[in-house]
Amino acid sequence: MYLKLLKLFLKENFSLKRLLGINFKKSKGKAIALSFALLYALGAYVGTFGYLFFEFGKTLVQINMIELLLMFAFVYASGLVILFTLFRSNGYLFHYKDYEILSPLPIKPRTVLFAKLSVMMIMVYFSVFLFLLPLSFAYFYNAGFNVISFLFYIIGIVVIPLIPTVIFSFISLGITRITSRFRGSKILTTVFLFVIFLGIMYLSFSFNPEVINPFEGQQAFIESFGKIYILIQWFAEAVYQRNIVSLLLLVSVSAVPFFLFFIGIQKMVVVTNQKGLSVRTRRNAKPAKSVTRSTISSLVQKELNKYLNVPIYALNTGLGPIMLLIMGVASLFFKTEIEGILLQTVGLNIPAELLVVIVISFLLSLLYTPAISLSLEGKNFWIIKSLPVSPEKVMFSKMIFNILLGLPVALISLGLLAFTFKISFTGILVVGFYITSFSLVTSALDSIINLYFPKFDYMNETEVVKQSLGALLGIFGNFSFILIGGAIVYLLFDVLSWQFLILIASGVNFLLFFVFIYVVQKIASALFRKMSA
Amino acid sequence: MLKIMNFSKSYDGKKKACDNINLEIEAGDIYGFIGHNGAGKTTLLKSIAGIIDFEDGVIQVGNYSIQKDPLEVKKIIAYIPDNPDIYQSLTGIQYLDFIADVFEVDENTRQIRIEKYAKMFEMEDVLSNPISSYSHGMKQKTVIMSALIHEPKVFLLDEPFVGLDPKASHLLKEVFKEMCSKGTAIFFSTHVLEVVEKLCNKVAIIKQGKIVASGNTDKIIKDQSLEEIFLEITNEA
Repeated sequence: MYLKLLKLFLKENFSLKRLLGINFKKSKGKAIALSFALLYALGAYVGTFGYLFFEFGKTLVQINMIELLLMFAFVYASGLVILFTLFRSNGYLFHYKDYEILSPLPIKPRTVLFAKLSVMMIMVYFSVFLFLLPLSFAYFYNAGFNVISFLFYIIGIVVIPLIPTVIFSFISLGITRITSRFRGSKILTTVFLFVIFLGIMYLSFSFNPEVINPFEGQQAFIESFGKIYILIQWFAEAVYQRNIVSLLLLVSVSAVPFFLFFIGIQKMVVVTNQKGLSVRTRRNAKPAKSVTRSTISSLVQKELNKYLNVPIYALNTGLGPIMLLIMGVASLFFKTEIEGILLQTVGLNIPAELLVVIVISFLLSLLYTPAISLSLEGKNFWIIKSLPVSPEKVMFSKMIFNILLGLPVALISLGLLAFTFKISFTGILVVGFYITSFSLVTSALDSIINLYFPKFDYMNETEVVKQSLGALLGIFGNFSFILIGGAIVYLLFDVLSWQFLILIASGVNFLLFFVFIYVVQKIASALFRKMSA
Repeated sequence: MLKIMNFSKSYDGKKKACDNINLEIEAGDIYGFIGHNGAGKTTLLKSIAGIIDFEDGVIQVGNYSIQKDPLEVKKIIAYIPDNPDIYQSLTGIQYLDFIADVFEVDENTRQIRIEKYAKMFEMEDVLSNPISSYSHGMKQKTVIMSALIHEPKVFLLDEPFVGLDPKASHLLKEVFKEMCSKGTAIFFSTHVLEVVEKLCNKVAIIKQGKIVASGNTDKIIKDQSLEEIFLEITNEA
């Protein structure tokens, strides 16, 4: 029965149609586009991280500290597991959507839980192994390949996720339990997760401005963390020194709590699934207050409600605006440090205005709501389709929401950065003009992406927000405008002033924005007709 | 009010979910639509509402074609699906406001109608709660209220009585009668044959995508029950 369930859950969760929202047999064009997009994303990831880790590995070999890369692998794998568990363990274990289907069946709850846990761990392992690919290569290339080391490494990577899974499953459940008692439970959950996420980001990217390679900046943190968390040392010793005692310690100390976790939560899973954590209907004595709006603002308001009520949506796409705000405010207090980071990560001898443009554009690129918000209509898509609202208007409302979410924050951040770096008034206007054009053009492009690549068939929003083709193309599509601007500046930097170059790049963005708007007007109705949710 | 002419729809290009359907629903009609599961009822209703596209035929609501003037058609219809999947992130009142905004129902009118139907369906106390906290029946009532808020000329419903408590079912039937007296055309699918027998002046029976009987309910039934007629027709080879 376990295997049957596992097969069913895997098919439900990981079939290509479910993961990417397209049928490969029926949509060959989309399949080709997807293959290119995946190759591009994989190439960009492996290329960037692979290069950085490879160079970092070379430095570590010189100072005889290559085992530090193993500690990096441990910490990164754990971080990834923490994020995954925080967001997904609730849906996989404590409140799974098919509970009502499975519970009346003559299957032992333990078997169902084991199958659910297995599927969750398969997803964890897939992500961890893929994420660690460049790091693993950098380690074994620089340290020298050894079969036993490699075997110990694989075993280590298999057991590393176990303890974080146990701890953060409970934390995730705890957060949901606490927030479900309040009225705005979803928003509170979003805030909680944001705080944890930013905390992890802060620890992971605590750059040291003295060094060029960002991983070198994390060295001190990882080393000190390794001294506290003994499992990191066991992992490093097991692989680097091929120490079987350390490996056995690592395996047993990780596996035992996980086994106890599996045994211990069996009853709890039944109870949490039975009770559910949805807000109970409260009889409210106050009469409901009606508010009249125009159609477009009502559509935008609907987008906002959706945004605030889906934590994974707000968390993933809200990172850019939050970071923009944090960076702007932080610049007032840490001018030298931020200047150092900007110069070392972006480049030397570039005017402060251009650095600001690059950083703000990059963070705005992380905001891709129009690339997924149509997909997020999901089972509610019938409402939009049956209402007398033109598809163009629906898409425009999604663009407007994205612009409102990013542009004001970006402009505030620009104001703060301009104050810190003493950018002239003309400079602020020029950069502000570019940022506006960037926000508009990325919003319009993302809308087109979602029109062509909708994904209505999903079990939870994470599949759309993080795993859909729309999300992937949205982020990388947004990056492409930074490349376009960069190419203009690079080619003409010696010929024209930076202000003029930014204006040209803005002009290109505006031109493309109007082209995209025209495209949306032309295609939206026809594509809406073909879509069925 | 609603004319369906030579309508056909296929999902895979081979088998027809609806095959050459011709129906006319006039103002004031309460038209029942019955058939086996998978016979094509939902396909036809979704096509009228402009939710799915179709290849052959014409669907005309008032003077407008759903293919040529979808927005004009949608302004005068209301559609209720078989499953009340509505925005979980909104409260009941926010959802009703959203629909009223889209149909540009003015503040006073919407206030009066929301109060009327909220009281009727006993939803006044829960309208400010999130839809995610509603039961199936409460969601169904919310969808029904949202459909009534703009007083549609054509009311399309896909199995509207599923999930409603007996009182709400009774009230919905009363609403049907009231709307019918004002000239609204009501076209709904159902498996509850007694409702059709007692409530509908016209009925259509669909079998494997084809209309096998349609017209005045009393003429179709004659001296038998609708159940007998339905079984007789649908069991025929």
